[in-house]
Amino acid sequence: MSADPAGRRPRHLLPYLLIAPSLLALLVVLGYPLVDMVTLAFQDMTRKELFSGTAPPWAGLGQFRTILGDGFFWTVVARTALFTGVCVTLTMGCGLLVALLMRRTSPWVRAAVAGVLVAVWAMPVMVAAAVFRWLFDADYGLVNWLLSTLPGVDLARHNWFTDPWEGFAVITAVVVWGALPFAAISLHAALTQIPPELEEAALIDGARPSQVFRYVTFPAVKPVFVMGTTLMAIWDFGVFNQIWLMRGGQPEREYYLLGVYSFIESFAVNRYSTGAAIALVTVVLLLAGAVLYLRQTLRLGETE
Amino acid sequence: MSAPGRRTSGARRPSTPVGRTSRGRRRGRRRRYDVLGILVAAAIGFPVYWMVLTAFRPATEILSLPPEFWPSHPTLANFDRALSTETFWANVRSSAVIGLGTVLVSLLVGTLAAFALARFRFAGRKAFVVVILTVQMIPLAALVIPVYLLLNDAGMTDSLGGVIVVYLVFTLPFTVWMLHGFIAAIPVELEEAAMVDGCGRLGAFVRIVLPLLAPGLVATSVFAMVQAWNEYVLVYVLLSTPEKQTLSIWLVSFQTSFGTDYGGLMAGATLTALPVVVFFLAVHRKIAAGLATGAVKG
Amino acid sequence: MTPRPTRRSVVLGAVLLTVAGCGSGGGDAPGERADGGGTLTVWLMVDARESWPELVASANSRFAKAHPGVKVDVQYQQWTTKNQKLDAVLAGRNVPDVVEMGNSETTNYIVNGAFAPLDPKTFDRSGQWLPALADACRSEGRTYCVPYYAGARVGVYRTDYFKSTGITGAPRTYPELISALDRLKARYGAKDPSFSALYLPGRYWSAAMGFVKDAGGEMAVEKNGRWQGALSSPKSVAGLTTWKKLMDDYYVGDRAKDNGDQPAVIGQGKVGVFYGNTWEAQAAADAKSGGDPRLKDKFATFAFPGPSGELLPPFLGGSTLAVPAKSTRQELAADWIRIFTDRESQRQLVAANTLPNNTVQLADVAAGGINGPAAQAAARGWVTPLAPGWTSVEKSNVLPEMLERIATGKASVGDATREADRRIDAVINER
Repeated sequence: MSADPAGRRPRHLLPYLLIAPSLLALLVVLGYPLVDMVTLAFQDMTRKELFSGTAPPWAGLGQFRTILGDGFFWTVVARTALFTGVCVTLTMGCGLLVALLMRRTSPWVRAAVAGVLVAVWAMPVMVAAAVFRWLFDADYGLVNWLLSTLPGVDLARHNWFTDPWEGFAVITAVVVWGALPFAAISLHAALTQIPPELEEAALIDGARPSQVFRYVTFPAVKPVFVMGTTLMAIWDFGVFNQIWLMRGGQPEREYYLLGVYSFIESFAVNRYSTGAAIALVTVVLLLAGAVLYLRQTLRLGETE
Repeated sequence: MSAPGRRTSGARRPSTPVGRTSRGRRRGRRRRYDVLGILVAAAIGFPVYWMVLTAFRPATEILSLPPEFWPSHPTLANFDRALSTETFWANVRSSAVIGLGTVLVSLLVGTLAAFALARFRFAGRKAFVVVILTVQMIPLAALVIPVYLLLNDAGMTDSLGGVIVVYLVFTLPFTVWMLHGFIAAIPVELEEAAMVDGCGRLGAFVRIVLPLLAPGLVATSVFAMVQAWNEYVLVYVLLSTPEKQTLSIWLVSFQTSFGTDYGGLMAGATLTALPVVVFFLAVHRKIAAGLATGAVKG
Repeated sequence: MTPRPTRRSVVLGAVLLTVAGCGSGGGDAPGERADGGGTLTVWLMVDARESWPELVASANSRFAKAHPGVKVDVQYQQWTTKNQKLDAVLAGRNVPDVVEMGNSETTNYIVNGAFAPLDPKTFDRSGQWLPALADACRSEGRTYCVPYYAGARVGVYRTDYFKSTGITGAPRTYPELISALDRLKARYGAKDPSFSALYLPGRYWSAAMGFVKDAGGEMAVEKNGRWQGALSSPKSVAGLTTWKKLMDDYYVGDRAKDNGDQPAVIGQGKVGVFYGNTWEAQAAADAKSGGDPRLKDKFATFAFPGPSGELLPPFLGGSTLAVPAKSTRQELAADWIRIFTDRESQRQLVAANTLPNNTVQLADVAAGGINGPAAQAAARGWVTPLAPGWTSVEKSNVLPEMLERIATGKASVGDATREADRRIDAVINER
């Protein structure tokens, strides 16, 4: 990202005045709670201090020492990273495939696909989770029934959440499904910006379809792709609702990801400070990941 | 890199049919893609269909096995039950106020910042961009209590205004990011010409930039709308009067300790999703064009 | 207004207001008063709205007569999300004046100073409060909440299935229960592989703990002022082993579930007997809870016999009402509770098929009625350990996870209980 090359010389105050409302809103509504959260991570806040309003005792780096020294925490980190990687890859991959497909279909089919994507986008996550939970229900689930009609498969009363790998497969499906509209619609929009002549010309010049995709199509949608991947990674890393709802508000320890872990520590176990510390570590990890990722993409591609 | 035509493509029609040459072969291939497209749409749309189907099903058939894929005894009883909830219409109003309020305020505030980002180089610009990106990384759940306390100190708990202010900061980063792309895509020369003609900067903005920005504003608003419409963790904590609560909290009330009223829940969800879908379909064209330009200029 | 030493300055609040003023013209700020004006805010759980709305209305009108000019604002909360909201709200200033608390949640709030002490003598029939509820309200000799209602689990059976299988009446002893289950299983289970003679999902912890209690076991015990888990004690293990056997023999559904969808599943007609609250029989016949209206009047209740020869000790669920320490109208709040829990109100509760908060009126519950067995069983009722950290144990799902591991055969009873005890020990003494 670079400033518009045609940008005007700075008027000294105007840009600052323009960003002032945004900055102020962010600073006050988010900045203050954020400071609170960071402070909390260095204290030891229990319900007693929370309710009475007295200052909790300082804990220094105690919370972080406990968390970082706990093997379980690192398991959760690794699990979260893996989950994010899989979800982002699947979302962007499927999104790209759907977008490419939409470009090749008749207009009415394209409209139908777009309509479906929109309906999916509009479905509240709570309801989506309820529907998926039910489709995968052990006793009355459609999925078990459908799979059991295949010869040699008997999944009657198979519980998908007993084995966390299978459980996470289902949760991944919900997350990817929910994020697909955003990915597919924006990628499709980017694809429509490519002049068809460009691809035509490449084909006529004897390029194979895979080469056309690699050298013409993908570079054109790359900015959208990079933006989408970045946002998805941020959102998926902090995923909370889908897991919480799919596990009926009582996720087992095998289902903890960082977002869930932080929430449980705060609100279930009432270790508000530990919860805050986990949240803080999450942000730091994400930032580190973002820096690595951006440097990598900048090195690979030409600077945008 | 620069592909020709991208800069002005905001107003471009999104779909130009691919090539006109060798039509016959194309048509065969297109038919195959059409079939595939329908299958994909069916697969993606199935859970939505299941929701609507359940909404029209009598309670006794909801957990049937083997499952039925068609409502054999369609009924409106679930909708009846959902609509007869005391607070339903109050909740609709409250959702509408919060949704529209969030969208309008975040567009207003966001456009200003986006304009600054797109048209000026200034010290601290990069830092502002970093802030915008970082803000989205903060886990929302960790902020519930601090945000509540802040609003409490400002005397804004249990007020729709308070919720709008909170939603504003969660939608603002994305809004600024998107709009900045749109504004950058509008040739700066147009503005300069208007200013030469005697318009002030403001006049130029209102007469030139704003009309061209319309699709971008619409596309961005959809995102903010969906977020505000479906969020329920914060809003449940921030609002306590039943009449002020939003539809997403109303939906949660179908799950009681007496069991879940799946029929009612799905009927309620169908009703809740409807306005969003209608809004989407109404502005769908603009979103497509909008998302592309906005992102491309990122 | 209480001084708030550590919280943010007024300046920032003012800044926030100006920001809000920039755009949110549509907000409905006027009318928002920090202390609620002449309003008493009461948080009740949704159950009151669903099952005894008349009681709420009549108590409010009696309160209005005693305190004309005070408006009572009843706000209904969801069990799943209430405490998170309560934590945030109690940390602020505008607290509700009365809150309903589940009896297993109260201890943690009391020890952390969330509630104001009350004088039990000023409440009707406080001498006869059910011990299981009253104990949850006491700490260091003072009382911090008032029992509201109780619920005891009982056996519920399908009368039509019993009749067609030739079972003459409700089982009174454990062997009678087993033989009834055997006959149901033989008659219906043979035809329908998804028929459970007894509905007993694995994560349904309050049922499983009934068996632990019946065998003389405990969830946790206090020794020298420190609590520790006791699930791996031989008696507890024996109880859980019996429970597992019952599940192996008579339950065919998914073992990793809890009883959340119980009414819906029973509404499908695939269950002969289940263990639950009496209102669950009604729920199974009510479309609102996902049940089937055609099953109305096909359920009857019985006091569930335990393997020990006594009644299976039921978990005494229930609710209490407390006044937050930060409430500015504590006297009015206490008065509202006084009216809402007096004998007249309790009479209406009993009429709504719920167990009252005192032993005197427990006797009024018709023995032959649907709640009779529950009232009978309530005498042997138990509550979760009154340890400061028990809420954490519940919220971190130690019990359901242990039970699921046993039920699905992932771990032996011994291994699973030892692990659960370790997890309990880690948090049970924390405030």
